[in-house]
Amino acid sequence: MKRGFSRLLAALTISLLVMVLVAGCGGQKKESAPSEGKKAEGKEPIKFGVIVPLSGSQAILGEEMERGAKIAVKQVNDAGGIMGRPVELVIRDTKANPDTGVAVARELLSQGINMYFGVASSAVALAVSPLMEKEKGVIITTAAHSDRLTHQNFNKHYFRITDNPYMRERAMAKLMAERYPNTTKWGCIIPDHEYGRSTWDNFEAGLKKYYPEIAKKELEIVSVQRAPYGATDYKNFITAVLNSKAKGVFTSEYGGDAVTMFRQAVPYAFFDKIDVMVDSANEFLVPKAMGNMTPPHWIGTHWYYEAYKDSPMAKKVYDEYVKEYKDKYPTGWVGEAHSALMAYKAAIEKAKATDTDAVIKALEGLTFDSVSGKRTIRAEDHQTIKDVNIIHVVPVKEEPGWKVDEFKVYKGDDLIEPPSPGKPLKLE
Amino acid sequence: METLFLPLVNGLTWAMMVFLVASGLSLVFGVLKILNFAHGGFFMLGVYLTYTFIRNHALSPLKFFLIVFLCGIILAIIGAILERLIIRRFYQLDEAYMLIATYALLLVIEGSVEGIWGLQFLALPSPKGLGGGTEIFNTIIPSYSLVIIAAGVAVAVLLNLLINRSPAGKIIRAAAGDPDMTSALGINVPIIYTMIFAFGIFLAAIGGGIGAPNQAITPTMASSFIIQAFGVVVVGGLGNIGGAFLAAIILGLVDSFGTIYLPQIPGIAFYAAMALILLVKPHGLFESSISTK
Amino acid sequence: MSDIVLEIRDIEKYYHQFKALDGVSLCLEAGEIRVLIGPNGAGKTTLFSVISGENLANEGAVVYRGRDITRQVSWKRVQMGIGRCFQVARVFPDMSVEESLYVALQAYAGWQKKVRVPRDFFRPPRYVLEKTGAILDEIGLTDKRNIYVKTLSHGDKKRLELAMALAQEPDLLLLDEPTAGMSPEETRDTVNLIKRLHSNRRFTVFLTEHDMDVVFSLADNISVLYYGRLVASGKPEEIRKDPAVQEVYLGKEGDFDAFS
Repeated sequence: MKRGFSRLLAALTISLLVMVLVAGCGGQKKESAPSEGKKAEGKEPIKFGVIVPLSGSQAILGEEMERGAKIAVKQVNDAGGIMGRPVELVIRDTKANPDTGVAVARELLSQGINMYFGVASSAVALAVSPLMEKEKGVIITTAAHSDRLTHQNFNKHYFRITDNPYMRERAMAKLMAERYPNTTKWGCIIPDHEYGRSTWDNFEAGLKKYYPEIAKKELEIVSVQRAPYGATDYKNFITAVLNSKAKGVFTSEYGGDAVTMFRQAVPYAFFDKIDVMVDSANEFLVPKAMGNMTPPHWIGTHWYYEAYKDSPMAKKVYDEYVKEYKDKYPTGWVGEAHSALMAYKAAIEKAKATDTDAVIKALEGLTFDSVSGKRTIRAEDHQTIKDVNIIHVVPVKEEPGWKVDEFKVYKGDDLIEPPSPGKPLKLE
Repeated sequence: METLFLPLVNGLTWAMMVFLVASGLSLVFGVLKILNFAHGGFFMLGVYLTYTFIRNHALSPLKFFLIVFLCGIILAIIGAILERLIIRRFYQLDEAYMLIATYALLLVIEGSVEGIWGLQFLALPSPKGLGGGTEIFNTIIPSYSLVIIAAGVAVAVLLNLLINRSPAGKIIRAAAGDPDMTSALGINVPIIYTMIFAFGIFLAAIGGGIGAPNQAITPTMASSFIIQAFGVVVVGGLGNIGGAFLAAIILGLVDSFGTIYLPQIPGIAFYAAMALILLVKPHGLFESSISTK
Repeated sequence: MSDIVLEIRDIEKYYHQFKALDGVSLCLEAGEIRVLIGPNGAGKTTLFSVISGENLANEGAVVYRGRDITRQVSWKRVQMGIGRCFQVARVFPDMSVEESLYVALQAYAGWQKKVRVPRDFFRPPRYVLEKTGAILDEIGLTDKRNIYVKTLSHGDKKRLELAMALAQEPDLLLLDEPTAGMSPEETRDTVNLIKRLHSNRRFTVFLTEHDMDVVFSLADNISVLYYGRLVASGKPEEIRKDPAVQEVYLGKEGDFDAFS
C-alpha cells in the first residue's frame, strides 16, 4: 500500500512539473492579438507564418525577428492593412532544428497559410525551402546565410531578404583593404561547419581581390583555426592565431560561442597584439554581453539604424522598438523581419492577390522601401540587393560600457555575385 | 617547449572545469545511486546567481570567491528542499522515473533562467588581478586558468579527505554500500541522502561560479560541460571521484592535444579516447565504489 | 517486580492480500531470553521486522519500554536501544573487521553526541578506538582484526554483525536464526557467546531458532508462531507438553523429534 501511494505521488509530481514547464515555457504557440493595429478590422485577415528559433542557442535571434515582425504588423495594420485586410502573424518555434522547422511549417501549411518569413538557421532553411516548393508555399528568410539557398539548392519558392556571405564578406574585406592597408597577415577562428567555412572562403576571396587592388599589397593567410561546433574552450585556437603573427583576424563564430571566444581572448591581451578584429555577423550580441570588456572591433550587421536615421520608416521602427522593449539597441534581425513583411506587402499590392504563384511573380524584380533604404529582389535567384552595414564598436566608461563610434555602408549592387541559380557559387 | 606547454595548460584548465561539474555528479551517483539529469541546470544557476551578485564589477579575489561560496550554499539549500520534496519519492521506483523527474527539473530550471534573466548573452569580469596573463616558461597563460586548475585540485583533495580519511566519510561510504545495514546502526540514512544531494548541488554551483568568468553566460549553458562530465564519470568508474579526476585529466589532455595535432577531425579525440578506455575497461578506470583513487 | 521491555498488541501485517501476522500479542520481560519457534514462513522474520521497524504493522501496537513505537523509523528504534541481527549477516564486505567496528561505534558515538568536530574529523574519537578492542575481545574476533570481511567465514560474519549490533549498546537484541548454517562446534560456540553476553550485559534477547537443542539450552521462555498466529507462549517445559504445539508439529521431521 505504501508503494502504491509512492507511485501516485510520483505520478502527480511528474504531472505537476510537466504542467509548470509547459505553462512556463509558453513560447510554443503564440498568436498576435487580432486587435493589434486599429484601422484594419472587419475583413478577412491575411495570415503569415513566422517560423523562428524561440528556444535553444539561437533564441535571441528569434526573439529579435519576432519583435521586428510584430512592429511591422502593428504599423501596417495602423495604416489600414494590406488591401484593406488586417495582417495576422502565426508564430512557431523552429528550435533551430531542421526537423522541427519542417514540422511546424507543415502544421501551418495544413492550415492553409501559404506565406512565410523568418528562419535563422541555414540548416532549417535548407530543409524548409524544398517543402515550400512541394506544398506550394513561399518563404522569405531573414537570416539564413548558406550560399546553397540561392545556388545549388535554389527553387522558386525561396527568397532571401538579407545580404548573403558573398556580399557581406566582400564588403568587409574591401573595408579592411581601405582602412588597414598595411595589415597583410590574416588569420581566422571559424566554426567548423558549412556556414563557418563559407563565410571564411568568401572573406578570403575578398581579401585576395581587394588588397592587391586597393592597398597595392600582397596578402598572406597565416592561420586558419577551425573550432568544433559547440566548443567551450577556444584558448588553443587563440594562441595558435597569436603565434602565427597574424595582424588581422576574422571570426564567424556566432552567438554565445563568439562571446566565449572573445572572453577567453582577453587575458592574452589578444586585441592589443593585433591590428584589427572582424566579426562577421553578431550584431550587438558581443558588446551587450561584454559591456566595458568589449574589445574594439568591426561587426557586419543586417541593419544599423543610425545609418538611416533620416529615413522616416527606419526612425519609426527604431522608436517603436525602444518604446516597446525598453532597449536602445535593436539588432539587424529586427530590420530584416520588418523588411520581409514590407516586401510581401508591396508584392501583394502589386499582384492584387495572395496566392503563391502571384506573390512569387510579384516579388521577382520587386523594388521596395525598407528600413535600410530601397531594396531590389533579383528575379533570377531571389537574392535581395541591399546595403551592407558594417559598424565599429569600442569600449567606453559610461553605461552600457560600449558604443558604435563609426559605421560604413556599402551598396549591394557593386558587391553581389552574378546569379547562378541551380549551380554552386564560384569564387574567383 | 611552448608547443607542449600551452595545450597542456589549456587541457588541464578544461579538464578541471569538467571535473568540477563531474565531482558532484559522481558523488550523488556513488551514494544515492541516481544520475541527476538536472545537475547541469544547477551548474548554470551557479553561474547566473554569481553574475547577479557581481554584475560587471571586477571584485577582489576574496570577495569573488566568497560570493561564489555563498551562491553554492543558497543553491545547496534549494537542493536539500528539492531532495526532500521530490527526489526521495523516486528512490524506491524504477530508475526511469528518476531520470524523467530530474530531466523535468532541468527543463523547469532552463525555462526559469530564460524567464528571469532573458535570452541575451552575458559575461562576467574576472576578479581583480586575475584577468590578465602570467608568464611561465616564456609563454603567456591566462591567470584565471591557474585559478581553475587550483580549484579543481582543491576540490579533489578535499573530497578525498572527506570521503576516505574522515570518520564521517566512513559512514557515508557505509550508507552508500549498504543503506539498510547502516540504518541498523542507528544512523539516519535519509538525512545523509539529503546532505549528499545538497552537497552535490553545492559542487555544481561553485563549479559554475568559478567557471563563470571563463565563458559566455547563456540560458543554454546547462549542457556545456554536462556531456563531458557524464563521460568522465563513466570513464572514471561510476561513483568513483578519484576516477573522475583522473579521467578528466586524461580526456582533457587528449582533447587539447587533439585540437592541435589532429585539426582535421575536431572534437573526435575526446570521444575516441572515451570509447578506447571503455573497451579495455568497461566498468571504468576504477571499481565503482565511492572512494577516490 | 517484572519490568516489561517490549509489548506487542494484536499486530496484523498484510503483504497485499496475504496475511503474514494475524493478531499477534506478547510481552517480553527485562532480562529474559525468549525464543520464537515455528515452521518456515510462519511469520517470524516479519514479526522481527515489525519490532525493529523495517516494516510497519497494518494494525496493532508495538510498545517499547512504555513508548509506542509502532510507526517509528527503524534507525530511531536502534537509537532507542533495539538491536537486530539478520538471517543473512549484513556486513560491509569491502571493509576490514576493525573498520566495520569503527563505523558501528562511530555511528553510536555520533548519535550519542560523543563526537566533536573538528578534533574528530580525521581520527575516530577516542571512545571509538578504546571500545573497538573491548568489543573484539568480547566477541572473540581480536585475532581477525585486520581481515577483510568478504573473506571471513559465515560464522565469523555473524559474529561481526553481532559485534556491530552490540556497539549500539542495545537493550533488546533481536537475533534472526543466529546458528543457521553453522557446524555443531560453531553452534555450540555461538550459544555460549549469547549466554556470556547476556549475563555480562544484562539485556533482553528475542531470537528465532530451528535447532531444538539450542532452543532448550537458551530459552527462559518460548513462543510458538504458526502461520501468523501465536499458538502458545510459556516456559520450555509447558511448551514441550502443549498439545496444540504438538499438533502443529505433527508429521514434521527433523528438529521436532524432541516432541515425539
